[in-house]
Amino acid sequence: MITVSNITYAYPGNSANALCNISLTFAPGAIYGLLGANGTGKSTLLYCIAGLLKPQSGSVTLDSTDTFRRLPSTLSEIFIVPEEFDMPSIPLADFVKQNAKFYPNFSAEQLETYLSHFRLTPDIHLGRLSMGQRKKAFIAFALACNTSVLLMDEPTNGLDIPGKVEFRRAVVSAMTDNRTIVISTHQVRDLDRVLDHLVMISPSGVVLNRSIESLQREFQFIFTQNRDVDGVGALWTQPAPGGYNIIRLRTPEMDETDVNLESLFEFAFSNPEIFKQS
Amino acid sequence: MNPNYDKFSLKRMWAVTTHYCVANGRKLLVSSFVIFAMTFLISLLITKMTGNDDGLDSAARAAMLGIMYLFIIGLGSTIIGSLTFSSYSSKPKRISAMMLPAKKSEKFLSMLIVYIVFGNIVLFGSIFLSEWITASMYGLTSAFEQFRLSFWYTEPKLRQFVPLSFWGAVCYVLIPQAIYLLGSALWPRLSFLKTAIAMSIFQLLLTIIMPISTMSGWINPFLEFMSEHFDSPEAAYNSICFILVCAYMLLAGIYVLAWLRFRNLAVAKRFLS
Repeated sequence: MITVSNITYAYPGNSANALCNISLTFAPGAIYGLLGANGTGKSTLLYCIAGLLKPQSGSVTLDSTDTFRRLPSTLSEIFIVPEEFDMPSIPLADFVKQNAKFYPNFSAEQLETYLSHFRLTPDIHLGRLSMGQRKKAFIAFALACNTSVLLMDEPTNGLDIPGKVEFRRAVVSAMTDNRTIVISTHQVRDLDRVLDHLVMISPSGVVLNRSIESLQREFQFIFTQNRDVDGVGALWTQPAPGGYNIIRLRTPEMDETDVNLESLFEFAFSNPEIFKQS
Repeated sequence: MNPNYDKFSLKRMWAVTTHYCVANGRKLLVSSFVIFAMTFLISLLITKMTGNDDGLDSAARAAMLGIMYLFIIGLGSTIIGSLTFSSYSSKPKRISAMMLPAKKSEKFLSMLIVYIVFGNIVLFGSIFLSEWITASMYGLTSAFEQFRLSFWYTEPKLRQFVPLSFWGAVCYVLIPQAIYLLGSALWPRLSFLKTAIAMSIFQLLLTIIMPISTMSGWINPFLEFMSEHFDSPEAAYNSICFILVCAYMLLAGIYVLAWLRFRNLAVAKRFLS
C-alpha cells in the first residue's frame, strides 16, 4: 500500500508549488490512472512516490517505509518507467542479466511472454531498435520484474497503434492482487478500458479520486445527436464531432456505460466541488 | 521485506560494479584504447625525436618522456575524476542510477572502482606498456629503468627521501583527481569544464591572496611555527612527512565531501532543476 500524506513540493528556484497538499492511497490490486493538465505535477508525484524527490512537507510510504530513504528493499519493490528512459546499447540478454538480479521476483518466462506481446524476441540488441521498440522492451522488462509498485509516466507515448493495443494487453495480464500500477497519461483513449481507478490532480490538490466502478454506478456517459432530448438534466454537455458527449446522473433503471475520460476530465476540472464532496 | 537486505553487501556492490561495467563497457574499452594509443604515440614520437646519428640518446629521451608523462598523468587522471559520476549526468541516466536497488554507499564505491581504480590502472598500465614496447622496439634502456638506475647515484643520506617523493608523486595524481571527482559530484553535466573554471578562479584568488598575506604579515605565525619545529636541515625529512600527512588528510577530506555531495545528489533536492 502506498500512502501519500499531505505532500507539498516546489522545484528549487520556483516559488510556485508543483504539488500542494496531496493526500492519496494506492491500494494493491488496482491500476490507477493519474490524470491532469500539463504542468500539474503528475510526473513530480510519480517521482515523489518513487523516492526520487523529497517533498518539502509530508511523506510517501510504501508499507510504512518512507520511499525517500530509498532502501534497497524498497527500491526492489518499485519500478518506474519514466517518459524518457535510459537503456544501454547492449544485447537485451546482457541488460536482463545485469538488472534482473536486483529484483527478487523477476521472471524470465514472463519477460518472454511480454516480449512476445510486443512482437519482440529475447535475442534482440537494444542498440539496433527504434525508440518505440526500445520502449516496448523496457516496459516488458518492467512488467517482468514483478515489483509490487509499477509507476509509468506516459507509457504509450512513442508506441505505434499495434503497440498501444499490445501495451494494454500486457498491463492487464501483468496485474495481480499484490500489485499496484500507476499510469500517468494524457492519452486517455489508450487506457480507458484498462484503468480501475482514476486520480485527477491540479496544482492546488486532488480534484478527483474515484474508482471506475463508482463512477459508472453514479454517472451515465452517453453520446447523442439529440441534445434537446437526451441532454435534459445533463450535468455536462460537450460538443463532439457529429453530436454531443453528455454526462448525467444515473438512476437504477439506466444502463451502465463506459466512462468517457475526456468528458469526465473536463467535467471534473470545471466542477471540482462535485467530486470533492463525494 | 527482509531487513538484512538493507545492510551493506559486498556481493551487491560487486553486482552494481559489473552492472556499470556492462552498461558502459563499450565506452570504457574505447577510452582505454584511446589512452593507450595516445601514450604509445607520444612515446614513439619522443623516441624518434631524441634520436641522433650516433643512436638514441636515452637520457634525453627519458627526460622528455618524464615531462610528457607528467602531462598525460595530470590530464588523464583529472578526466577520469570528472567522469566518476557521469551516470548522473542526464535525467534518464540519473533516474536509472538512483532507482537501482542498492545502497548509496554501494553505488558510490562501485563508481570509484569503475572509474578511479580501473581508470588509473588503465592510465598507468598504458604508460608502462607503451614505454616498454617502444624501448624494446629500439633496444633502449626504458625511461623507468633510467629512473631506477638514477636512484643508485643518489647520495645514501638522501635515499630516505626517495619513498617520500614517491608518496608525493601519488599525491600529485590523487589530489587533482579527487578535486575533479568532487566537481563531478557537484556538477554531473560538463563537469570537467566547470571544475577547471572553478579551479582557475581559485588559483587566481591564491595568486592575489598569497603576496598580500606575505606582505601584511598574516602568514607570520605559520612561518614562525614552521621555523620553530623544522629549523634544521635534519628536520627536513620530518617537515616533508608533515606536509605529506596534511596532503593525504586533504585528500581524505575531498573524498568525504564528494561522498556527502553524492548522498545529497542521490537524494537530489536539486534534481531536475
